[in-house]
Amino acid sequence: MIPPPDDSESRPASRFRWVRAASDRVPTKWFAGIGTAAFLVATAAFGGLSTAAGPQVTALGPGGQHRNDQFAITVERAVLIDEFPDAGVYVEDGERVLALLIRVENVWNQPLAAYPDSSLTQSLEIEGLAGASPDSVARYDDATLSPSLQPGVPAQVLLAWAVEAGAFADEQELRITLNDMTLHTGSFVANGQWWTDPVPAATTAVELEDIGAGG
Amino acid sequence: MKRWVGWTLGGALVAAAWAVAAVTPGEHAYEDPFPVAVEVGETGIGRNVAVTVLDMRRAETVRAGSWSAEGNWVVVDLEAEAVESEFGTLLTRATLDIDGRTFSASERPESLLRAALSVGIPRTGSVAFELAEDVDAGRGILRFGLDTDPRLDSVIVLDIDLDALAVESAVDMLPTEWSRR
Repeated sequence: MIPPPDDSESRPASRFRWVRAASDRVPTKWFAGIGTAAFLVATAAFGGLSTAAGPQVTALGPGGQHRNDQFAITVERAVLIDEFPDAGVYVEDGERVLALLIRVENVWNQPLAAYPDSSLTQSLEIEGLAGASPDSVARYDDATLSPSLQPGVPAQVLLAWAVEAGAFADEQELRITLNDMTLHTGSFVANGQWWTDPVPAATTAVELEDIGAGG
Repeated sequence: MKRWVGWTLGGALVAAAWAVAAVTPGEHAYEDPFPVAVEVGETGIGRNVAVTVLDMRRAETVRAGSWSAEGNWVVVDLEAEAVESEFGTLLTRATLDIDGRTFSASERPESLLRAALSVGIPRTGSVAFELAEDVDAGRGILRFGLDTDPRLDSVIVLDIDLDALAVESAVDMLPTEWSRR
């Protein structure tokens, strides 16, 4: 015999009885199977276990331009020279200067400063320099050091490294990787926008010219 | 409750919510700069910077001493002084917003850009903006301030109308010196 229901306790129980009834009908035993099937379907939809295609790296011909959301860059010339103080680089004994002349246009809508460890220099990587930033960045026309690149205003810019005298040779082919960067917007404690995270996007090559003491 | 009371109250609440949404300041409003809007010839006085734009010119070639360069140039002649303190007070921020892009004053010529400012004794000189070739008309906004980070400091703001400026073949920038006005 069920005792007559006590008003104060049985009312909530009867009100939520349907929850219990509904949850009893849920086929909890099938959860593992359903989850596995969903995982397999999702994996298959994203291409299964085959290797995902990496970012496309284009090979540029000589004088070819690489354009991304930030810069349009053309590698124009690479020289090896005894010293190059006008470019803002100073050598010690046993060192020479590797200078890369590029034509670059800032295609973003804000000015971008081109200093030795900036988003411009991170956009280029020369094989044999182990990712080292240039020692100096200067405009080719008036030797302004670490210039600002104004939007839509192309400029010829020299990147210069002090390198070991024997590390590079005349007529050597210099292979250069051009990277794409991602625009990052600061939030919380950071402020502003900056370009970061270089990803290889194009390769090009230029023949190194040894011009001795200059010329 | 009468039916019309409910509808009226509901409508009023929707209108109030719309008004609140409309007047809510932007996400970065709490750190916006304090703009001081002026016109050519008028002195804009901010927290620690006072700027008077004397003239604006456009040119195909800009000269400053032995330096010169071709391009699409806007040269702004101005006077600038500090208001409170001279310590570390440099005219670092000079930008021109036009055509959806921001140009900063060129560091290529010797100019008033990054010049040290004094209290009570204005410096006079020019700053030059090198614009993209395709920017040859329209209105823009000039901004002058002490820091490249504009947050929470005064910024002197001027309108500039490129259509109203004739393009000269060559202009000389004013040498940076003490103002003689």
